[in-house]
Amino acid sequence: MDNCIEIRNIDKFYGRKQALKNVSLTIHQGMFGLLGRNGAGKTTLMKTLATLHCKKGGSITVCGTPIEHVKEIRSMTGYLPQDFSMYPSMTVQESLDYLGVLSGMDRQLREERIKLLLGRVNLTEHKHKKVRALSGGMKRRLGIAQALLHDPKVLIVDEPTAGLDPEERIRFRNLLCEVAEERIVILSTHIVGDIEATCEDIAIMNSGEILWQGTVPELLQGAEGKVFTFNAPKKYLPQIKKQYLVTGMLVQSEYTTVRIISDHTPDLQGIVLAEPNVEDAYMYCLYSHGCDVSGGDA
Amino acid sequence: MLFLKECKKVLFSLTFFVYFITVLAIYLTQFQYDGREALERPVPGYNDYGMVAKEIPEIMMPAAVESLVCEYLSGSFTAYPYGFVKYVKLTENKKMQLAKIISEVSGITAQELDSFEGFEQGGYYMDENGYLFYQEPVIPKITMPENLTYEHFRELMKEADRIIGGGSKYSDEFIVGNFSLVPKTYEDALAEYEQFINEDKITTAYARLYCDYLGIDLAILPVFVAVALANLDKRSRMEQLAYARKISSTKLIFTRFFALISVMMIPVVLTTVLAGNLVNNLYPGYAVDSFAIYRYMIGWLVPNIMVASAVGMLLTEISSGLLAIFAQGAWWLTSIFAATGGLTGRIGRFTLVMRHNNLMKRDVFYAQWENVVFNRTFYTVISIAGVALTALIYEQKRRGRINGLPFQIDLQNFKRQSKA
Amino acid sequence: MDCRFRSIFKILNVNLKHNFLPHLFISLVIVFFTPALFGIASLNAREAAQPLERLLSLVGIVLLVPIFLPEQNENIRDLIRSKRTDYLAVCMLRLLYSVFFLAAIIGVFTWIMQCRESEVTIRHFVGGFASALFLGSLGIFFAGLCQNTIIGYMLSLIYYIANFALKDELKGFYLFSMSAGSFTEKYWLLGGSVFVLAITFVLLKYIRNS
Repeated sequence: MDNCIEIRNIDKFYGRKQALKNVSLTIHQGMFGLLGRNGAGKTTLMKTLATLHCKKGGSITVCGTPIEHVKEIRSMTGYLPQDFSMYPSMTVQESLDYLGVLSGMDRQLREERIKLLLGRVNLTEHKHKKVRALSGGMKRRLGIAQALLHDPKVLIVDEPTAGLDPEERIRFRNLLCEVAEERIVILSTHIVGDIEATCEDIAIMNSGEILWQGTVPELLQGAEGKVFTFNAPKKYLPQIKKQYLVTGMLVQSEYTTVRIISDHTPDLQGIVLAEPNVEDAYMYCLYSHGCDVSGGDA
Repeated sequence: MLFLKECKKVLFSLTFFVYFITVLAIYLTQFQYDGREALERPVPGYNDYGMVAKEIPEIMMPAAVESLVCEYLSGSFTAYPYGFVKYVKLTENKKMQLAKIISEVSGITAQELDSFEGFEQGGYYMDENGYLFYQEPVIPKITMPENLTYEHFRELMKEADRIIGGGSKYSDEFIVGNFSLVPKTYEDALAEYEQFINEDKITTAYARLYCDYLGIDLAILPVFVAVALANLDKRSRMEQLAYARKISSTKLIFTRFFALISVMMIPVVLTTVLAGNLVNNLYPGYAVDSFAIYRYMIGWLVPNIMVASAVGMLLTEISSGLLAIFAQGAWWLTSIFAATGGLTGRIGRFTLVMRHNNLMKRDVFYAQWENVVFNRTFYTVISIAGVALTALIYEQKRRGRINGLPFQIDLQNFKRQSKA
Repeated sequence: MDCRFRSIFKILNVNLKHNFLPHLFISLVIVFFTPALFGIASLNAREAAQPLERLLSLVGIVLLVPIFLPEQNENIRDLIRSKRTDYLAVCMLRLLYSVFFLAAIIGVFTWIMQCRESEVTIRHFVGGFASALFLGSLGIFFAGLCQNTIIGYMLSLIYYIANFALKDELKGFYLFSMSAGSFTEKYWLLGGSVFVLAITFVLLKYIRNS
């Protein structure tokens, strides 16, 4: 059986609004990053893969199984929603146990896996704590533990690092990378740093469409020769912002170092070609596909 | 503007929609039904103008004594201690106490009572042809002592009521209405009608009826709307954001409260206008008080909406919406049931749902006017106090001194910080 | 098969413990207050119907309506739904035990009335249960359809209130018929409950799949 997810020409409507437009993707083993702005349709796509939404038209197969076989799909996918919550009166251990039952695991297996996973996400000492008393980071770790509980072939995590402090975020990314060695992990995020640190294959979504799919080096390659830096006096900044897509600004005492994206070398004094980073490349991708990026003065 | 934003949230909520439809439905099925035809001036020469309760000892005393003997012999006493009908059975000890009273007012000794056989309950029965006929009860012969004064009789009845457990037919509250009914004369009926036209100016009487109908639901339904609004905050994860916003808790909570009240007034104002028109058209050519219904709406109905909303907001903030709904539901239910048996008047200082399901009996209502004024003022003040308390708790949550559900306060922490 | 039975038992156990106890507690409060408000001893058949129909029927709302409440939070709902066990099956299980407790509460109450020498028969039990079940089913219907338990409580309570005013209009679905000496309505109420519940679950299944 092939170890990949095939998405072919799917659509999704919320009433009249089209949330997914003719989406096609192939996702292989390892970490796969779905990058896009808030409202780009990432969550919709993830929920569709987790069989929480029904698609319209097209086809999806997960490791050879069509998505319509809900029970089988659910047995082989683990899902971590954007804001993980559980019945607040349950303890960590009780939550995992109950969710394990819902996944159809027998008692012995549950006990083994819970013990293993609590250790892996560092929650062993907190296993008798109630869910309502957990911190944001602890909750997220409980979330990943429950998603991995039945040892799924596919792990779907929606915006897992939003709202975490930098330390927690790094730990969380590493955890995901570890588990991705043996399965497909799909990660959605609007934080470019997450992708850069973890994913090899990525797709960029915007208003329900897949704009681009490929590897991180390919994305970087696309932006090569399009990123420039130069020093500009402060008073010219508003004008520069109007004319160019600015991806970075470093304010110094007399002037500001500006990082811009442009298809052609701009006719400006002291302009230097720069090595693109993933953020630049992402912005360039949106820009080159005609997306409105004027608000993006990151 | 925050106020308009909150109003919009209420206006577009499902709970408000249900509330809106319900208020309209009550108006249409209840008030409009009662207002389908005008009351007519009594015409002399009819036999039946209805009955009226008048305190006449000669009528009341024999009737009450007969009823007491009947109930004693049947072994079951009908009472309304909490508004619900309750059928009371007495212990042997209490039976003995009651037998003493009975012998004092009826001349029947305790032995006679207990050895009496062949007791039959009197009342109206239907014969084979479907005609009603009255059957006298079969009980020992009653001879009321001649020296029994009315005052002493009433005292004995009060004692009997105490033995039965309160709310019986012999209580001060019910004795006149139960045993001292006399047919209304033409003059009585006319006087009542004149009062309706001249003193109540028609509209005031209808205003009371209107408030009676709407008041029932306005004392409970707003709690759902208020809870839904508070939950919206939690459900859409706004809580964290709202906590962090600059706006003061007092301003936020009170704005929300006033938004709730304002929006929930929309169907009420609408039906008030409809009701006012209906009455005006029903009685063309009479001098009416067109604003009476608006005064009553504001004075009678608004406090109901305020109380239910405040309970919803406060308890949702303290614990959960579920508790708010159940608490208000229980309070409301006891208040509603306490009124059955007396749908007219009986307005205590703390009655949540005031009832006056009658176009007449202006006197009964105004006899309790002080209670009415106290009652509505009290509930207005207490609701505002409740909202202020909500704001206080909200502020504590914002500062992180209280968090989590159910209600958890780190008491030590709370004290230390509030001192600082 | 054994394993399946065990997991049903486990789901039952967890839900009773975490999602049912508060509601059961509130129902018991109603049960304990009923004798204080109404008499329950030495009542004739009609009188005995009053506490059952007017007050205990509310237990139907308290116990049945919240079967979707634990997943009122969308994130929890998504999480539970993403598991292999059908979410609606869990709700169905909750419905079953809620109906069981409802029947038990009304049954025990009727039995106590009998012990206190009221003229109650099996009809009183069935009649009281039918009214409570119908109120609860209505609530479940609206709570499920609107995915909002508050609406469920609200509309079932409004229906209850309507019964005080609209006796003739409600016809077969009049909740307090036994107090007025008629039992036919109870068949309608029972049938209606089954119909409403079936419709609710079918619609939810359909909505989810579309």
